[in-house]
Amino acid sequence: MWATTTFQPEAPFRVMRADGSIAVFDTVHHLAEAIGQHKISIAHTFLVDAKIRPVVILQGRPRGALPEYAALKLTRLAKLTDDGRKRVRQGLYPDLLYLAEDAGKYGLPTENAIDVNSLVRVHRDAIIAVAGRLDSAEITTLGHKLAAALDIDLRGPIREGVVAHLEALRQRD
Amino acid sequence: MKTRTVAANDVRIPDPVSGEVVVVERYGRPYAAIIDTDALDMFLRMQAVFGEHVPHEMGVSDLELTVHRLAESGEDTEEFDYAAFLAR
Repeated sequence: MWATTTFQPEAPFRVMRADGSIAVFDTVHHLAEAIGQHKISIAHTFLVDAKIRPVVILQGRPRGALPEYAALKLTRLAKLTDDGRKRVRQGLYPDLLYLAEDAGKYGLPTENAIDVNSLVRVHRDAIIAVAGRLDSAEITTLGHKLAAALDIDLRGPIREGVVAHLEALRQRD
Repeated sequence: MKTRTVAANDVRIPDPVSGEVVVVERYGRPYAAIIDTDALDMFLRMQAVFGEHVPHEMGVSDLELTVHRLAESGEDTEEFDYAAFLAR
């Protein structure tokens, strides 16, 4: 999907006051102090950079009940070395999923990589258009990579699934 | 992880350098790695701290970090083609 996404707020923090003026805080502690002194509202307005870019939406929302989507950012490989690009194409990196140049499938003019460490939330109002689609194998691979990157321990559920499957087989026989 | 010690006279390896990992490749893929003793000490201490559940971040490679910085900074992203969007 093409969507407008914001960059993560980081120091120095730029905050808009109620009168529209901009306050800059070098650290989050200075910001908290200003809030504590009622110079800045607790619910304040951050000024952050944003960019329209392609992202991979990770969730279906058929009911429309949850308007926010988890998504991952894509990046081109133009700034990598030739050797680095070659390695990404070979799939040597657990945290990257390579998307070859395939405008018909992905809707992008060049090759890209999905960075599984770039998890972001995108509101449906920020989505502009569909760019392309991943196939089911890529979605499965991405899920495995994402679970690893998020330090989600799947061994317990996998073990339980195997045990349940074996028990079902045993009862069938 | 078990430690197997071999005598320096029995093997030929590049000199370990502090702060550097020498990755030995075979058929274009990582096959072995050589680290200096300070890095080994740090590795063993981290292993003791984290046990089986080593945070994923510990294994993120330099190239993956480079790609991540590019993704987060938006330095190397596709440009949105508004004309093409209108033409759809």
